[in-house]
Amino acid sequence: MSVHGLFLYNAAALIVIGIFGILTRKNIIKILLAINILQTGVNLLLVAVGWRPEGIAPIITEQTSGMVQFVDPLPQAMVLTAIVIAFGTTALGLIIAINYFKTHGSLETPSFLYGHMKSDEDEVVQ
Amino acid sequence: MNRGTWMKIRAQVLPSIFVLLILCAGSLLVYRALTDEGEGVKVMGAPIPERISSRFITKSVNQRDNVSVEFGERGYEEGSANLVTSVVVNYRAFDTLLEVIVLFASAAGVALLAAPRRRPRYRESSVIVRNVVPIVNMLVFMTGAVIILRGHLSPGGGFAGGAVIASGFILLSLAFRHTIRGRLLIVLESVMGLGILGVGLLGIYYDGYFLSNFLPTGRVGSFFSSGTVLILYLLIGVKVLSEIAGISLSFLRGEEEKA
Amino acid sequence: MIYAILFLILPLFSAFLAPVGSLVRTKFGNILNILIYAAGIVVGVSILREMDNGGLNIVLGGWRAPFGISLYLSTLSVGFGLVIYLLAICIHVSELGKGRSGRYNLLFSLFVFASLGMIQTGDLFNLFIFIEIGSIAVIALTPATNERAGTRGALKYLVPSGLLSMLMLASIALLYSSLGTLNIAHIASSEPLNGALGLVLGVGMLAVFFFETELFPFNSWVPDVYRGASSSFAAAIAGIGGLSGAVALGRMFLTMMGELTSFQFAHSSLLLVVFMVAVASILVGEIAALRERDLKRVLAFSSVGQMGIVALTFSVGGMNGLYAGLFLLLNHSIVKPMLLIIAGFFVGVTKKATWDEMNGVGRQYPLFGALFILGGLSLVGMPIFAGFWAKLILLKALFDGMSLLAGIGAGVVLLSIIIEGVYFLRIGHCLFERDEENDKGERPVEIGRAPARDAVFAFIPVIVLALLTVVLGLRPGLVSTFLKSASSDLLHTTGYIQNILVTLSTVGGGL
Repeated sequence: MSVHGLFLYNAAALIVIGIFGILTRKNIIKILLAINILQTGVNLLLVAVGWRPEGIAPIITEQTSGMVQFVDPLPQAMVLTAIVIAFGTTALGLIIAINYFKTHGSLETPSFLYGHMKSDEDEVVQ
Repeated sequence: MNRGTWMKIRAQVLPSIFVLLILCAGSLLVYRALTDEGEGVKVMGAPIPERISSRFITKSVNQRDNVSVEFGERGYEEGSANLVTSVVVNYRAFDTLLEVIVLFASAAGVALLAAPRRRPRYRESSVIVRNVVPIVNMLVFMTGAVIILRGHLSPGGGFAGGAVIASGFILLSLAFRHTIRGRLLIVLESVMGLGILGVGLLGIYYDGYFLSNFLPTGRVGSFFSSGTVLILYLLIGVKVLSEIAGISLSFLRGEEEKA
Repeated sequence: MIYAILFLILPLFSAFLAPVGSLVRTKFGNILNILIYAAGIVVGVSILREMDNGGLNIVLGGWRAPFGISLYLSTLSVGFGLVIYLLAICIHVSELGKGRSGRYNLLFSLFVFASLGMIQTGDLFNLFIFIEIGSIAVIALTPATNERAGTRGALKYLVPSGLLSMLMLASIALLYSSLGTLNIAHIASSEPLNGALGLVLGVGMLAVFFFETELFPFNSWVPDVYRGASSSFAAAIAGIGGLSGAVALGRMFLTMMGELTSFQFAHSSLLLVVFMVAVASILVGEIAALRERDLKRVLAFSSVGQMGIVALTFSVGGMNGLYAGLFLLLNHSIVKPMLLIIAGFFVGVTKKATWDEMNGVGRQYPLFGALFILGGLSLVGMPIFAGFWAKLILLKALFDGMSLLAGIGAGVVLLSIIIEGVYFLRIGHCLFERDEENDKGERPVEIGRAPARDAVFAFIPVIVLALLTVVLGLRPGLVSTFLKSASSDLLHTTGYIQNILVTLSTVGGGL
């Protein structure tokens, strides 16, 4: 298995672990962590896709002047954006978790795969 | 073990095993699909010279005749030595504007949902923390500023630098009671955002395209090069740091005021 | 001089100014938003007037497509964009009476911005980021007014959204590695992809759009979010969010994964996937709505069913079917927010959430009650209302289809019409019931008087939307050119590719 393949399989493993966590965990914090693992896996996949054999970092310096053997800069730009998005959604998820704990008294929810949340039928929402 | 624990374990573990089996089957199918030998383009079917980024690497999207980029040369369509920065802030600057808006939205969302804290129980931090944090923070702020300013020359840029400086603010908030007013952060965010929009609209005024790089390109590798990249990364850096600081303040102190 | 990019960018100004302005005056955000959306409508109308041959391509930064990011303004995107602006104004007017903080208005503006972007963008990764902005806005705004139910709804939205959007990003990564581009037109015109690969990547990318468009099996968030959010924001999600999700789904499936594109080997399998999702959504949505007691949840499941019908037209029925589907989408985006605003008003005055406990409220507020029934009839497809024409054309297209799929589709649509009729009329009857004991033997509920200001503010958008659906029902020809051009925009991939890559009229944001 080449180095490239190693990164790709690693990314795939992280993605599968993340999906597994989202589908089976009940604790909200664990679900958020699983989402983060999934996001890390996808970021790794993106960077791995941009690799080229004997590639160098995409920065033009005196040593790399005139070369074209750079690794792909576009997936790295996408990963930059994806990391920021992951940060934003994680922050929001955590504040939702805090509010959920405040209103429901526990961080456990029925798993999203089966069962549904106990809804409070007495509550009236305008 | 008795029957009760066995039932509990079964209820917890059985669904997980079920999901695991489905995921294994699914990944096998996906793997078979990705490595299928039928006709048509396969995965990794486009090596880098065939991708659009080959033109980003040689800076020949609008100019069509570059073979490679020389360090220190003038006259390219785009001036950043850091190719990733050239993609992020120049070729695909709109995506970066949107990314900044993502952060803006989540900061606003966190502030909107954070519950007001009544009288937080504040514990005075220790002598070591109170004295070391300002010194460490000097280094942190300087490092962050350098990362922001050299975004077009070496890895870094507004996002990384802004996050570093924001972590300095978090240290300050953990060490001291009153660090920064939430209102200042709100004003900072909005002004920086309007600044980025302004640069974009100036691009229309000068070049006819939103977010076009209308300042001179300069020499690849020198500090004053690559046009609006430096300005944009500065604005982005300040915006990002105010947003991350805002998020952490919302978590630490709860909602400051109903803005 | 008209800056065509403003059509997309205007809500950003409101988003950046709202929090600062609200530090000074609290009502600032609401009024500013309304003014900006009105300006957006003006810009959109002038763009439509100046568009000569059906397409305006804005390349951002001056970097030509497919290397840079491009926005595609056509009758489809500008027309539906105008609908989005109009809905945004209506929803803001309906909540003028309630004090919404500056941050709430900021997030609402960003929600509008994200929805506008989703239907205009020509770049895949750009589309992904717009979806994320929209998700964050929904997750933040749903618990903003009601903490308990809203937090539940937000959680139910957040988890699947995180999972599916990351699947989309993974599919984008693999697609980029195979074709080397991120531009939708460029992807569509590339070399054909391997069939199995195309199927996997196609499903990976479509899944998040099924989620946005409230389709089964990703519709678990819909009832809880509609219920937990304030009814005005639920109206925004139904009208604006569902609209942009469906149009983006159309753009992805019909234009990028069409019969002659790089996805041609996988096209028939993907079509089957969309068909099954659509049929399942119609059945699940309508049957669940039949059994549901909570009023806002009934409307939520009805949305699922309607979106299922729209998705059905993406897979069977040809050009006429797509025309009908877009008409249905337009009608739904006008009527469902109206129903939700009225529902919210009723919930406010009766302090009850289920429709069988709200009996008699229609007698107290006859205009609202009548308009609720009017909206329901329009969704079902009663003549005089816009829904009638849409469903008629759809059924005709399906019957002309002469294929098994079209036949199944026609049967399911007919079934859905019957079921919708049943539950809407049931609710309508309940609203106007007399002052006696209902089936459960309970006395009817106390109906409070709402403050006149709230009633007026809720009334204005409701009557505007009701008039729209009646006008469209009486004169469907008003939108026929728009819908025809919109459906051909989605279906005729070659035209789309021409317009973007060959750049017939390239504008950078100014005209």
